[in-house]
Amino acid sequence: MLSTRLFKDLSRKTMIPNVQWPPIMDLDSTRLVLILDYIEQYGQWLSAESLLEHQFIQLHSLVTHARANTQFYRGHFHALPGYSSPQELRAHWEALPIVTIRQLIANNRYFFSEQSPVAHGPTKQVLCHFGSEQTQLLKNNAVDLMDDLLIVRDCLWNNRIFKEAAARLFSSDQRLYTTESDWGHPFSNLVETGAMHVIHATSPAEQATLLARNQFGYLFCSAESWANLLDYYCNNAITNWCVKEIIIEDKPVTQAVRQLTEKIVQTPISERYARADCGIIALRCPEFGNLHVQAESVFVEIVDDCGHSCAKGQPGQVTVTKLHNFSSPLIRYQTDDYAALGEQCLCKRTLPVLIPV
Amino acid sequence: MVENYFFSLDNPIADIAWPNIPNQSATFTLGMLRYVESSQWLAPDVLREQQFLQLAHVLEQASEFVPYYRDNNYARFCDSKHRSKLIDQWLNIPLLTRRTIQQHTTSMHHGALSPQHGTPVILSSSGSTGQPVSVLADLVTQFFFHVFSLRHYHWHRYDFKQKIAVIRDMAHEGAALPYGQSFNSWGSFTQGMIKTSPCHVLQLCDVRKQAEWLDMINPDYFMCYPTVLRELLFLDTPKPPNLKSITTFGELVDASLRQEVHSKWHIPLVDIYSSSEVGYIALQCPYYDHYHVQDENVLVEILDENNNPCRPGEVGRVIITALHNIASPLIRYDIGDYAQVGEPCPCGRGLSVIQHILGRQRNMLTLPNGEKRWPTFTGNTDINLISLFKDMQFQVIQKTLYNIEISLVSAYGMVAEEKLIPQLQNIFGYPFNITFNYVTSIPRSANGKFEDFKSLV
Repeated sequence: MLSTRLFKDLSRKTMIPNVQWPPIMDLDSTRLVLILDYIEQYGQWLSAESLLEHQFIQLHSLVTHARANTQFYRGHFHALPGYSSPQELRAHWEALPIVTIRQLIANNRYFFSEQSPVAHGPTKQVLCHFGSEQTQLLKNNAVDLMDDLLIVRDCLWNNRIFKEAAARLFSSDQRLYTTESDWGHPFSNLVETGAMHVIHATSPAEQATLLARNQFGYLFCSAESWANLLDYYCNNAITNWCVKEIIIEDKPVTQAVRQLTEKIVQTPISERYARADCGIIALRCPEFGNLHVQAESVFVEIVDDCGHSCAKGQPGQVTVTKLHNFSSPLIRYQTDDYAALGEQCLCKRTLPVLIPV
Repeated sequence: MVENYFFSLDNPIADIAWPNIPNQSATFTLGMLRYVESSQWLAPDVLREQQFLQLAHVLEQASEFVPYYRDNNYARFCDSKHRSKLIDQWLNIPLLTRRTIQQHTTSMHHGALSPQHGTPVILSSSGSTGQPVSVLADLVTQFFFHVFSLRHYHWHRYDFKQKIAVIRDMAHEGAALPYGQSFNSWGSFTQGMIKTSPCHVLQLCDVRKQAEWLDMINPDYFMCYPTVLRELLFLDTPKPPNLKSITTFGELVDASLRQEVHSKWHIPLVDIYSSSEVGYIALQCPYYDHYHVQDENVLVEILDENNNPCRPGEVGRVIITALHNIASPLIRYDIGDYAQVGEPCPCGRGLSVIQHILGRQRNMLTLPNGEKRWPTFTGNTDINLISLFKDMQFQVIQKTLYNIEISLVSAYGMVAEEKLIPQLQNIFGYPFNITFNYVTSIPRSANGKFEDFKSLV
C-alpha cells in the first residue's frame, strides 16, 4: 500500500518532549495519516455502487445541515420535501436545483452557516476570484483536513521523493525569492522534506532567471504560469534545469502544452484539478494518467444546460458538491468548467474518471 | 487492518459520516496503533536503534531531574552529542532492584515534568509477596498502555461487537455474585473511541459459582488468570457455546494448560505478559505460542547469572527499561521474573521473542547442592507437576533445603502417596522428604493470584 510508505518515512517531529520513538505526532497530522490510509486501502476500491452509497450518507448529512443552518439553502430548497434517508435523497437528487457562481457571488454571506459543528474546528474566510469579481467562502479544519490529505495522496500516487528540494512559482507584481526549510503545510509535521524555494516574479524571463539560481527536483506552479514560462523557454536557452516533475496545482493542461513540455524541457508534467471554491477535485491516476475524481471529498456530476446528468462521454458542466464543508455548503455547484465522465480506469480504482474538455 | 475500526468509531466528528473522522483520543490511539503495526516489521537491529534513541531521552531526563539517578551519577552514561554510543555502554548501567525502588519511592520521581506529560498517577505492582512496588505513570505511559491493550485484541482478531467476560480480583464489591458487573465498554482503551459490546466482570469466587456465571453470560471471549481457567477445566465445566477464545494474564501459563483448553474446549488460549509498574511487556504472537516483546514500549533484556545477555534457548532474569515513563523512570529494572529467550519469529515481525515466561525466583526449587530448577515448567508435559495433579487443586511449598510439603484440596479425595513420591522426586531431581497436607481450600495471595510452587528457602 502506498500509505505504508508514509509510515516508513514518518518524520521524528513528535509533539511530546522526550518522546522521540515511537513518535507522537500532532492531532492534525495523525488524523491525516489515518484517513489517508483508510481511503487508500478501502475508499478508492469500493464498488461503484458502494462508493455512491457512502457518498450519499455524507450528502444526506450535508443537505440536512445546509437546509437547517444556511439562509441561502432555506430559500433555494424551500419547495423540496424533507429527505429522511440517504436513499431518499439519492432518488430525488436531480430535483435539487443547481447553484451557479452568479448565485454564490450575489448571495455571498447567505451561504455561511449560522451554526457550524463545533468539532469541525474554527472557520476561516477564503477569497475566491471569478474574473474581475470575487466572493468569500468559509472553510474549517475538517475541510482543510480532506484537502491536505489529497495533496499528500497526490505525492504518494506519483511516488515523489520528499527529501528532494522543490520550487513553487508565482506570477506576481514583485520579485521575491525565499527559501523555506521544508515543503510547508501539510508536509511540515508529517515527513522530512527538502527545502522549498518560493519564487515570485513579474515575468517569465524573471522566473527563468530565478529558477536557474538553484536546482530542484520538483516545480509546483499554476497552469497559466507554466504555459507562459514554457512559451519563454521555446525561444530562450534553459540553464541549470534538473526538475524531475512539473506539478500543475490548479487545472489540467492541454495536450499541446503537455507535448511541448516533453519537447522543450523533457520533463513529465502532472496536474491536480483544484479550485479555490471547491478544493481538490481530481488527481491524475498514477498508473494510467486518467483524472480521478476525489470521490471521498467531492461529489462530481457532469450536467447539461438543462441541469440533467450527462451520459458517460457527453461533455457538460462540472458540478461539484463538497462533502465536508458545513461552514459554507456548496451543493450542486456549477463551476463553469467543462468535462465529460470517462469509463472506469484500468487501475481498478472506482473513483470516477474525468475527461477535461 | 487498523482501519477496520473506522466502521465502529465511537463519537466521531459530528456530521461527517464518510470517511469518518475519529475524535481526538481515537485519533491518537489508532494512529499510534497503525504506526506500531507498521514498525513491528522493521529488522531487529533497526528496532534496537530506535529504542536507544528513545532510551537516551529517558536516561538524560532521569540523570538530570530524578534525585535517585542524579545522586547515583547516571549522568556518566549520558552523552547527548553521541547518543548512538549509548547502546555500547548500556550493560554498564547498574541493575535496579524492587528493593531499591521501595526504598527510594519519592526520590525516583521526576522533579520538573513537562506539562505535555500530564499529571501522573500512581501505579502499584500487585505485590503477591506483600511488597508492592509503586511508581508514577504520566499521560504518555497511560497512552501507550491503551495502544498495546488494543494491539492484543487487534493481533488476535477479537471482534469488539462480541461479548466479553472477565473473572479477576476486583478492588470493589460491585462485581460480586450472582450477576457480577456489566460495563458498557471493554475498557478505558476503547471507551469513547471504539464502540464495543458490554464487558461482564465477576469477582473471584468459588469455582462452581464461576462456572455457573460463565454459563449464564455465555461470552464470545473470556479473560481470567490461568489458575481460574485450570480450575474450571478441572471441574469439567462445559465450554460456553459462544466462546471463541480465552485470554489469560497475571500468572504463568504452561503447555499443559494450553493443551487442555485445546482438547476440552477446542479454542485458542492467548496469554499476556504485563506488570502494573511497566505495562505491557510481551504479547502472544498471533500465530505461535511464544511472546513478542513490545519493543516499542519497553527494552527487555534477559540476563544470565553473570549479567550477560542470554542467547536463544537460555533462561535468565528479565530486566526491563520503560521507554516512555519520564515521571518515574525505571532503568534496567530487575522485575523478578525469569524467561527463556526465543529465536526470531517466523511470522516476520522484528519484535524480540520470549519463548517462555517461567516465573519468579520464589517459584524456583533449590536443590541441596544449590542448583535451581523450575518444577512447574518442563518441556515434557507427561512428567511435570501439573500433569501429575491434573484432576485436583494443589500447591507445592519447599519448606527447607530437604523438605517439601504438598497441599491438596481434600474434596478431590486422597492420593496414592507411595506411588506419587518417587515420581515427584524424579521431577524435583532429588529425593526430598515429601509430605502431603489435605486442606479444604488453598487460598490465593492478597492480589488474587495463585502459585503452584513456592519456595521458602
